[in-house]
Amino acid sequence: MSLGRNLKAAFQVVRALPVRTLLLALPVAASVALALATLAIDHGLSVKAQEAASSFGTDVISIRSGSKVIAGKSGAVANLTEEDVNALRSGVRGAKAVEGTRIENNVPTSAGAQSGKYTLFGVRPPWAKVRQFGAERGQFFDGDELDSAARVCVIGQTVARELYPNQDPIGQEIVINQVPFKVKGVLVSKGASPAEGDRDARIVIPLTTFFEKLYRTRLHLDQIVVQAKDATPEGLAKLDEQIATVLRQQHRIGAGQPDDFTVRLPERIAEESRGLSKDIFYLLLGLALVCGVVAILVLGVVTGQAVRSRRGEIGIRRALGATSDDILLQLWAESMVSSLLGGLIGIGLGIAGAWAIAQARQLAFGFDVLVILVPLIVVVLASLAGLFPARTAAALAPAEALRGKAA
Amino acid sequence: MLLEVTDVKKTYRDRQGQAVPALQGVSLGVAKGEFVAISGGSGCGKTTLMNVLGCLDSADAGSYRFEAEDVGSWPERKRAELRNRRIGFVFQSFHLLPFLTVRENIELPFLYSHQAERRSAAKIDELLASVGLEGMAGRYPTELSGGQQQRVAIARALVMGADLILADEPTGNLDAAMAQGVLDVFAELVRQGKTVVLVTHDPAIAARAYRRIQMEKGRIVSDIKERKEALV
Ligand SMILES: Nc1ncnc2c1ncn2[C@@H]1O[C@H](COP(=O)(O)OP(=O)(O)OP(=O)(O)O)[C@@H](O)[C@H]1O
Ligand SMILES: [Mg+2]
Repeated sequence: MSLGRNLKAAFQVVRALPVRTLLLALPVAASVALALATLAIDHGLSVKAQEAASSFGTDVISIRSGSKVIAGKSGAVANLTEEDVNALRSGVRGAKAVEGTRIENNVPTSAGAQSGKYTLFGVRPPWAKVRQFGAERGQFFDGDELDSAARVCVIGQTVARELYPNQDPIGQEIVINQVPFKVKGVLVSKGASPAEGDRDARIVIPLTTFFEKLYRTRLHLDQIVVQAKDATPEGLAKLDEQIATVLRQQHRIGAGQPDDFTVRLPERIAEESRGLSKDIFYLLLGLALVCGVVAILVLGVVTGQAVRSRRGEIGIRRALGATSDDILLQLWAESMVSSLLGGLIGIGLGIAGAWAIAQARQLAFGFDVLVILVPLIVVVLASLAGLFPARTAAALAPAEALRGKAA
Repeated sequence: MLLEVTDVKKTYRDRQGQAVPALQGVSLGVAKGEFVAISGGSGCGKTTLMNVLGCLDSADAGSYRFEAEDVGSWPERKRAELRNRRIGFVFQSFHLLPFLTVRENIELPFLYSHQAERRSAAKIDELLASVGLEGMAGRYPTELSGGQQQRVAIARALVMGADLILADEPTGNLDAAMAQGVLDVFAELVRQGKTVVLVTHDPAIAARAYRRIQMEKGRIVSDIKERKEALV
């Protein structure tokens, strides 16, 4: 018994039956491709989600108005206020910082001949530190400018690029909702997130200016961010509880009534940014698993049938000096060639597919090292599946095998 | 003695579990260089005996010595090696692998050989020429006549240098002219010192052997030896 000579025998058979080999390879290829692509895309998406979560701040809890807040959009009722912020500051011990934000979407903005619509944030200077969203160039506005409701702003990089092509925006004039402002700085880039859209298409101004110079009639807040002292899951959970207690008291919500606000913890934010939901991920992996099982069954059944119809061939080989182990090894090598071929096709297709999707969706393209185990497992299992039916045929006395019809 | 079976018995069981006695105590010695023909009615145990002689099956009782070795009790691995190196098989239905060329069919035994002998293309060509199949190495079995296919099978039986050729009705699927052609090859092998045991129904075929054995119901009923020179 040696692998080499039986591999040669297997190759002679495979060469004679290229279509059968290819057909056997296909389910293996499908299963491997599907599994690889799913894992790779999920990898890309979770890298992106991690980035989204950490750029929001892994120690930052977000509170939005409305009981069911759809990611990225403010709730139906605008019921968060400065009083809530003050109540949280004094009532929540686990908070390092509490900052209220007023957000307005699609605010018409222009500079010279250029114009666009951007998301306007009204904040206090400490917000920049909490959200890690300070000025990359120029300066963020300061406390004096907040107190005096100065018409100054810090703009995101998309805004800078679109409104000031080939120009330094710092010190320039910008007209926000028909009110002239001065650009003090350009924000660090945060890129796009599935939950928040292009986070560089933002303009940040003092909260006081927002209320006194731009939107005088709508004096609510849209979001309160709370930075945790203790960012462990337990710490965050405790903080979540304290926030709910304070806000329910503030909003006079009776026992048994639902919250009229939504608190999102960092991992929730990461999850919402994830894109490929866990359900779909498991569905695709399940599909890959089904393909894998089909591949294994097909190889098993086909090898079983081959063994029956090839009894004569087995008998001849035995007569010429093959042991039953040789026969087993040859049959295994034959299904190994098919499944290996399938594995290679599957790896090619899976990587190509994952790469294409990563390109289209601007995802990090990469694999967990363990991913190489997937084709390996499928290939080995599929090739072994043929051995069960082969065992009995290989164990027959040569005379018995020869009594079956000629090859 | 090249081989010697003593009081060999073999009983099959049919589907109903009924005992079918195929060999009921056969004793037979074959010397090196003999040309033996075994005849007998259908079902008398000829194939069963050939399977025992070829180590393709084992007997229920009795002993089998090949060159004085008790090969009947050898493990399968050693019996496979014996088949590979010492015994050449020729079957009624040729038993060539249809997806291999003539050359690859003839080379098949090398695949299962433990010695690392080099098969040379020249050696195969020479072998093909000796069985009258020059230039047919690249053909597939389906592109050959029955007589030609059987000659390929004979070449395959000889390629490892076997000294015992076991042929179970080698001419059963051939017409009279082709059958005589194949018999010529066997006669030539015997002349070169090989030992040939063949099974045949045909008295005209059996007549070319130097020793004729008649079987009946699992037993040898007559065993006639002639002088070797008489029929060459
Ligand atoms: N595997 C088997 N199972 C059951 N019975 C068998 C088996 N092989 C052979 N027999 C029976 O054993 C007896 C001898 O069979 P064998 O094949 O040796 O006969 P044979 O002399 O070669 O006949 P033929 O001339 O028809 O080839 C027959 O009665 C046959 O039916
Ligand atoms: Mg027979």
